[in-house]
Amino acid sequence: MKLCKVKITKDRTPTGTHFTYPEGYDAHVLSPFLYQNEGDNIEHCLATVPDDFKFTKDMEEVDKETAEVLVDSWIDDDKDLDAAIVAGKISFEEITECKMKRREYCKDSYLLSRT
Amino acid sequence: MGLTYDGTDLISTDLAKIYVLDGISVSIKSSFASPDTFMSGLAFDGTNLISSGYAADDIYIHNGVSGTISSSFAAPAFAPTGLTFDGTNLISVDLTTNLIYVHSGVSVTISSTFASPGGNEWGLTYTGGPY
Repeated sequence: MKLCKVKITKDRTPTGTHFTYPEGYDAHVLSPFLYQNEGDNIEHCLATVPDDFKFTKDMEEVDKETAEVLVDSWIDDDKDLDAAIVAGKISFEEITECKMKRREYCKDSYLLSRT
Repeated sequence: MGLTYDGTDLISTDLAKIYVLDGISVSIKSSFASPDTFMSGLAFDGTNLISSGYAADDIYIHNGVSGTISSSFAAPAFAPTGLTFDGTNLISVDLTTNLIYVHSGVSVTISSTFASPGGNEWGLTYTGGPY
């Protein structure tokens, strides 16, 4: 397995947001393990892919160290969670648990990969 | 938080992942990233998995039962805490408004609302089918 950073285009309309994935994206091949949850028009996700996956500019290979930096950044800078905290919807303990679970899940995905 | 059934498998979610179980059993068939950091509801419309996020207040339409999100729209209020599908329309419940919302199909449009009976509902299901 390898690690892939996927660029997803978001088209916002009054009735919702449509997500467009790069040409060649196949949900049966890529296994996204973290969404960036940020950006009005562009969002990214990190996914594991098979060793023979054909990378493109919108589905670029990242090494384990880069992926770990992205994961830390995306989890720590989650605008939705920040807004939920400000609104008092989620407690500090729940946020901490959310982030911990996400990091554990991402770590499991790194361990499957080889770069 | 959330649980639904696609006619074959039970689907559940925690704070980080959505799990497709093997039938109604403890075995995990597959899992994938959840679109929101704090998932709060799951439903199945016969083709696609639908999920709600408590942090972003969005409802996500997945591509089949997968981690790929084809579209999303804003939940009707501030804190969606349950989803189900009645065979025609998506139904959601919100913790802050204490209302149950009947959507028009699976869309942002709300065709009717009524008060939730208990006031602080987390979770919805429909008895007419595997939703």
